[in-house]
Amino acid sequence: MKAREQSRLGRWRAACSGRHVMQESATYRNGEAIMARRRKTLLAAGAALGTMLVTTACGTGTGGSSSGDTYTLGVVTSQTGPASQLGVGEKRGAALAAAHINANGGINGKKLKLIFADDQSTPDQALQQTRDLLKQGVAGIVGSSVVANCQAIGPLVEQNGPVEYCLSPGIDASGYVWSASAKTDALAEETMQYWKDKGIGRVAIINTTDASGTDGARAAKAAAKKVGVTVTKQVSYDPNAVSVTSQLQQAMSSKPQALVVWATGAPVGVALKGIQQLGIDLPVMTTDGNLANAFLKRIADYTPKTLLIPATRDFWWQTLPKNDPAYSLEKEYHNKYQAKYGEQPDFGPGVAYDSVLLMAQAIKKAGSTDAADIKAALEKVDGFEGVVGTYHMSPTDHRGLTVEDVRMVQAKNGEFTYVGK
Amino acid sequence: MVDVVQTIVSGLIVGCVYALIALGMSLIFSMSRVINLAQGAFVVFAALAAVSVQKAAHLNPVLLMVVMAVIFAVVLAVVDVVVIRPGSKRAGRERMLLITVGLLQAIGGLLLVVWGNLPYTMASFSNKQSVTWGGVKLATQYFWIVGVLLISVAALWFLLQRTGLGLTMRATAQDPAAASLMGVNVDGVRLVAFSLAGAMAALAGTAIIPLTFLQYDTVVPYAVNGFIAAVIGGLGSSSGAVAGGLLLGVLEGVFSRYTASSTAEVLAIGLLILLLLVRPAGLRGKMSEVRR
Repeated sequence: MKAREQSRLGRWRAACSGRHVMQESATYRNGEAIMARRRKTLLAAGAALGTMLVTTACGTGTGGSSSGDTYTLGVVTSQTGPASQLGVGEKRGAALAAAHINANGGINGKKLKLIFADDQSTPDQALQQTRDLLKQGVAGIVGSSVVANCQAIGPLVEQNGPVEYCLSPGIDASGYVWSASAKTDALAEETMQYWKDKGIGRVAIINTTDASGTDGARAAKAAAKKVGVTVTKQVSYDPNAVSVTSQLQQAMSSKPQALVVWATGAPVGVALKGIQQLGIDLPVMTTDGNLANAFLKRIADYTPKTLLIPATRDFWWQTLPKNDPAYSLEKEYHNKYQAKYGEQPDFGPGVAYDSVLLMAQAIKKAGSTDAADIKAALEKVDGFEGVVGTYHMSPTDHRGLTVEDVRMVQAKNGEFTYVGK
Repeated sequence: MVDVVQTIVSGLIVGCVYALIALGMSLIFSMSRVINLAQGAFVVFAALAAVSVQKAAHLNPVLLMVVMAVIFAVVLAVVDVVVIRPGSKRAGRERMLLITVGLLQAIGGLLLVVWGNLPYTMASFSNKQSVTWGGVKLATQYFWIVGVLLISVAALWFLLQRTGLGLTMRATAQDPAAASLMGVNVDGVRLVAFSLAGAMAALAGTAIIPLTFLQYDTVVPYAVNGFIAAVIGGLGSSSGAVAGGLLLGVLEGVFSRYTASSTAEVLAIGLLILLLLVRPAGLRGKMSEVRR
C-alpha cells in the first residue's frame, strides 16, 4: 500500500518536474515533416504556455504522521498567491492556538501537532494538499482561506469526514464541513442596517467574479432587500483586472449614495484606486477578508474618506466592559500574538485560532479521533468563548456566530476603529 | 455613449501594455527566431523594481523611466548572453520555447523571493484625480502610458528605417544566415534587439504600476496576453504587435463591460481565434512566412 502510494507520489512529482512538458514537445517534433515550421512553433508555444499553467499549479508535499502520544490536525491555508494576506496570518493564529493548548497540558494529556500545507490560493492545490494530509491520517482539516478553496475540499469530506473547518465565512456549512467567523449574510446585513440607520437608502454593488465575490454580491442584495435599502446597480470584474474604472462608472451612473466592494486583497486595491481616480466621494464598504494589516498598509494612499468593514469581536473587544470574561481572553490573545509576531493580529489569525481551539475541544470531549465523534462533539458546543465571538452550535448550525457578533469598524490612519452597531 | 467610450478608452490603456509586450516579443523574434514567452514577466519585474527604486530614490517620473529602461536593457542583454544565445546554439526552436517558459517561471520565483507575495503599487506620476473630456474620465496616468507606447513606436521606427544599424537589423530579420554571410554580426544585432525589448518592458511596467496592483503571480497573465497580442498582430510585425495589443485590450474591456468578466476573456480570445482562421498570418504578418 505504502509502496504504491510512494510510486504514485513519485509519478506526480515527476509530472511536476516538467517531464510531461518534454513529452508534449516530443509529440510536436514527430509532426515536423508535415507542419509548416512557423505554425508548428506557434502551436508549441501555445502548448508550452498551457502546460506551464499546469506546472505552476504543482506544489510541495509535507511530511509527517500521527503517533501514539499526539493528535494531528492538518492546516491548509493560502501561504502564497492573492489570498496570502489571509493565509499567512491564519497559519500564525493556528500555531499560536496549538502552542496555547500544549502549554496548558495538551488534549487529554496528548500533544497537539499541526501539519501545515500551502494551497497557493488555488482550489486544485487546496484539494491536492488536503488529499495528502488525509493520507497522513490527520484527525481534521482546518482551512482553507477562501470560499473557492473550501468548496474544492468540501465534497472530499462532506459525507464521511473528517471535519473540515473552513476559515472563510462564505460557505454553506453542513455535513462534516464547518465555517468560521460570521456568515457572509450576517456581514452584509450588519452593513446595510448600519447604512439605513445613517440615512443611506441607495447602494451600488461591485464584486469580483470569483466565488467569494459572487457569494458576497448575492448576500448583499438579499440583505438590502431584507433591510429596505435599494440596490441601484450590480457590476462585476475579473480579480486579475488591471483597472475597474469602466465598471465603477457604470455603477456611478445609477446615482448610489454608497458603494459595496465585495472582493478580497489586490482586487480591492485596484477598485479603490479607481474610486480615487474617478474622484468618487461616497462611503465604501468592503469585506472582513480585508481586515488585514498588510492590506491597510498597501492602500494607505488610496483609502476612501469612509471605508467601512463589518468585523467580529477581535476588532472591537476594547469597547467591552473590563470585567467581561471575553475582555481578558481577548487581551491575552492580542498580547501573546504581539509578543510572538511583533504586530497586532488581523482577520486571519483570529478565525484560525478559534478553529484550532474548537477542534481541540471537540477531540477532548469525544476522547477519540473518530470523525463522527468529533462532529457530534462540535455540534454540542454551546457558549464557547473564542476570540472571534461566543459560539453556539447545533446539528443545523455549523458556525455558531450570528449578526449579533458583528459590528462596523472603519479603516483609517493605518488602524481599524470601532464606529458602531 | 459616454459609457461606451469610457469602456473603449480603459481597454485601449490595457492594450497599450499588451502592445509593448508584443512589440518586444516581435522584435526579438525577428532577429533571433526565438519566441520569448518571458517578455511579459519582465514588465512585472520592472514594475516591482521601479516601486523599490522609487521608494529609495524619489526620482522624477521621466528620470525613473529612463533609469528603469537602462537597467532592463542591461538585464535583457545579460539574459541573451547567458541564457538565450548559448541555448539557441544547442537547441531547436521548440526547446527554446521551453527555455523561455523556464525563464518566465524563474522570474516569478525571483519576484516571490525578493518582493514577497503581496501586491505592490506606486503613486500616480501626475495628479491623482482624473481629467474629464466630454464626460469621459481619464486618469492622468493614461497619458503616460499612451506616451510611452508612442515614443517606443516612434523610436523603433526611426531606428529601423533611418539608421545604418536599422538597415542591418532589417537585413538580419529577413534572413539571419544570409546577413551573417554578408559580414553582419548577427549576435550583436540580437543583443541590440534584446536590449530594446528590455527597455520597452521597463517602460511598460513603470507606466502601468501606478494604475494597478502587481505581484509575483501576475507574470503569467501578462505573458499570455502579450503572446496572444503578438500572434494576432503577426509575429515579427511591429505595427501588427501594436494593433494586436490594442485590439485584445479593447475586446477584453468591451466584453467585460457587457458580460461577466470571466466570460469576457473567453469571448475575446474566441473572436481572435476566428480572426486567425480567416487571416492565419495575423493582422499584419506575411502569408509567405506562415507557409514557409
